[in-house]
Amino acid sequence: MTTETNNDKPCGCDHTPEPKKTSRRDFLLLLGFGLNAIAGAMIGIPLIGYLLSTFFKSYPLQWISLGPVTKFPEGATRLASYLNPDHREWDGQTAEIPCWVRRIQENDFQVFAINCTHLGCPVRWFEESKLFMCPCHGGAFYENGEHAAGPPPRGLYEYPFKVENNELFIQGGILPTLANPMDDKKPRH
Amino acid sequence: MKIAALSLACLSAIALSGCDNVPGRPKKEDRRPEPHHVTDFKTLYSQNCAGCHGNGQSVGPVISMNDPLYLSILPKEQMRQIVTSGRAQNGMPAFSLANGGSLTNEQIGIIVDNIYAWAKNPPPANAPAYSAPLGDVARGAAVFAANCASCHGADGKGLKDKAGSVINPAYLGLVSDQYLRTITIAGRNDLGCPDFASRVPGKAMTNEEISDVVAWLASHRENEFGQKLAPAQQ
Amino acid sequence: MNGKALIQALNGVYEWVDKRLHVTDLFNHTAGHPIPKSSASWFYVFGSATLLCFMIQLLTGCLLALVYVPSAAEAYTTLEYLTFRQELGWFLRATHYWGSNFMVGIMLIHVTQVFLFGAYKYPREITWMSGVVLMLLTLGLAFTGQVMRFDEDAYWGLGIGAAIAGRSPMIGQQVVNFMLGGPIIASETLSRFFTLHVFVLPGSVLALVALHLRMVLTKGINEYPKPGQIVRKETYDKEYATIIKKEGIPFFPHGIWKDLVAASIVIGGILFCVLMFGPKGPLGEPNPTQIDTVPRPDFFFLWIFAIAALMPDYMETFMLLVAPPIIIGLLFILPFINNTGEKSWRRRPIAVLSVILIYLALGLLTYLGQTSPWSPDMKAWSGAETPREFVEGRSPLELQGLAVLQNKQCRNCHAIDGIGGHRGPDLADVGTRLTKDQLVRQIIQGGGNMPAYGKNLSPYETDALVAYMVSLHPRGEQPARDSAVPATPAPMSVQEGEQHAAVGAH
Repeated sequence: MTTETNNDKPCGCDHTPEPKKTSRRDFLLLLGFGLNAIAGAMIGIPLIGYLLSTFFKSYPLQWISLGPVTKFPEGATRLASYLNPDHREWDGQTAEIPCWVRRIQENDFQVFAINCTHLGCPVRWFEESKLFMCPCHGGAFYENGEHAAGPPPRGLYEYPFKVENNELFIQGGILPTLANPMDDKKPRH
Repeated sequence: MKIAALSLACLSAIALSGCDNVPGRPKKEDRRPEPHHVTDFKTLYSQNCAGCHGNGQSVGPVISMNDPLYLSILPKEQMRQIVTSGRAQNGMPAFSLANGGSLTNEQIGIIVDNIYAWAKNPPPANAPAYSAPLGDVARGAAVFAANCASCHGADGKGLKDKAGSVINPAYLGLVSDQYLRTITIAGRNDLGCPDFASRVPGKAMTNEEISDVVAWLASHRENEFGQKLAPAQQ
Repeated sequence: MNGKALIQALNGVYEWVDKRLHVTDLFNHTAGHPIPKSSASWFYVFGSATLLCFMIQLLTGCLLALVYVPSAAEAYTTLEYLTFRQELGWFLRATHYWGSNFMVGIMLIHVTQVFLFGAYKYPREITWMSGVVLMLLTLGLAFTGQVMRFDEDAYWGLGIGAAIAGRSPMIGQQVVNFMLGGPIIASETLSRFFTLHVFVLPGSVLALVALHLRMVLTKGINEYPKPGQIVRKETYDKEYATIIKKEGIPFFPHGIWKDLVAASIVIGGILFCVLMFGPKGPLGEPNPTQIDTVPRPDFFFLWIFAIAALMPDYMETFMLLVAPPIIIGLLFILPFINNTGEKSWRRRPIAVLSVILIYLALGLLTYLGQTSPWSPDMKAWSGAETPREFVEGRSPLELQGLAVLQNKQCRNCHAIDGIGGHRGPDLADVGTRLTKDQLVRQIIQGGGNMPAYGKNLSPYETDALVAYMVSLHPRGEQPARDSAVPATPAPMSVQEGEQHAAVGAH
């Protein structure tokens, strides 16, 4: 191909290059870049897709059983837990997700996420004062989940629930945050 | 040079000992156990009981657990039951996990067993029963005058610089008849209230006298609107 | 004779190798490069000390990875194995932990020194900017490192991270899912933090360290600034060349000895902490259902923890999501804001003042984060005792009031004479501050960061509680009184107090 000219001058570069050949070299360089760009994209796009799969995927809430309603005495708030419906075999203890179940009466429930709406620390229920308190920054919530004191921007996150055949179901399986609170309560401000 | 040699010696000593005895090496027994696996009585008691009942030396608002007389009249099983399910009327919380508390049954057992290790004596021969039905109100007034009035006043409303009212409706509204009976029997030695045997020197209160005086106290109960409550209603 | 021959032979070998590897050339361009004599100062050892710490982290990290399993189900077990059963595993864990503390600490000193000595100015802008990125990567390593110690704090720390991410506008949920590798904290969360901690971040640090050092070589190390020596773009390069020509000394061996001494001090310091204090944790198991936990971040993030507690909630999202990029951005473009002029901190009062302010703020916030007075003491209600003087001499009603105070978890936030939570005011002398009516209103309605207890207290409980609180005033000090009512000359007797309380019950 172009070997002839190169054979004449081992270092053809420092002599005045003929415009025609330069453009061919330019073309080949561009071709090289272009081929690599295509190849790179063919490999790179799936890589990015793999990396960002969790970014674009949506995780709908799923119905999960919390067991028979008789587990929860009326007028009391109890800690319950459920197996993350989307768990992996190697999740270990982290597959078990806690929540607070308040049975107001009969089939009237409130099921709160464990996570404080401030920064996600686990709130603790105090039966005597009927308050949830957070050990991190001192957020406090009333029995019905409303904000009582401290920095949390809203009341506790609440799972949607239903009772079927005397069994309590909640719709969960995500870590609730302000971006996805599961309920439609409004922030305080 | 000396310092270098010395530190070298120290380092090699540590290296030779295999770092077994350095303070930084973690020991399994120093670890904080999971809350449900705490079995140390001192820890359990100081975290769950000491706030109200005192730690045996300090005093709390309600009866001390380090009271041999109290422990001698209260059956152990009953205390276990009280810790497990609470006494809603007196404000004693339920501590067992099943009742919304934070302690396992095993932990409650450890607490109760060790509290009873404080009991020194068998109950005195003249010890009244831990619980009994209410007695006679009229007789109770006389018992009160004889045993309690010197501190709490003839009308029970308290004496300045001695002791406060025991017929205040808010007070009576917050304690059960059993609570009144227990205090009448065991007193609050840590706060200067004598027990049943030493209110009047040489003359211990009898079981009937105690039931009567509790009935008299309970007769002062009122509801929140100031209306008298029948004793049966408490 | 023999010796001479040996040396000659060795020289021959060296020359043979050098001809192929160009070692001499490499040496002259790197370790042997000339530095200003003034820069061979004790102030200039922190950069190399930070790098040393990083090397220790690489080494110990590789060794820990021989045993550690980054799986949510196994990580905790392998941590325990490392700490208690693996031969010298605790030593490795401790060295990695203290190495990270030292690395963050020394890196901060290094940044401060560079800032105060004006070394970020022309022509060392890229040196500074790569340094800012290195600082962020180091903090990233520290944060992801906490997650590697996969215990209760790591689990809830991830929850805090997700809660912060969930505050981002529009794409909050996507960011949370991306960060956690799914909708919930689980095995994939640990795996991606492992990837960051072990591959991505250390690799990036290595690359940036190369750039950072390359800049030090090409643009030279900053000369020790003298007050009055002004940096001008037009003249600086010439001036620096003159300094190097006149009083340049080779970094090796004339400058490096101080770095070597500093390095041994750093290693000694790490070793001392390792042997005296050992590794951190692991704390309790990463069991989400075990909520009897008080999550706290590692030492170097306590200040952020404190900010999150102290910010008014309406500006919190701003402080967590907007302020950090602004601050980092400002740091990043600092060389362009302040490119030339005076270098010496003696002539830069604002620089000195801002350093002092920043460190005071960080120190104070860290202290507050350590003590976290805003957190309720979850065990105080059942565990905090009351000093004798606050129990003795009380009427039965007042004692019952103290029982209510314990029972209703007031002690979780309110101490009595220092014992109990510290979120709310100490109640030891509350009787001198609030009248009975004010106490009733405060308890029933709450306010000022206190929940309203109206629904959870019976009238009798309120009576008893208030009666007790009114009794809380130091001996000899009058209780608080309503200023609209003329003062009564005699202090209230117990009996009168009782009657008052009784009236309140009606």
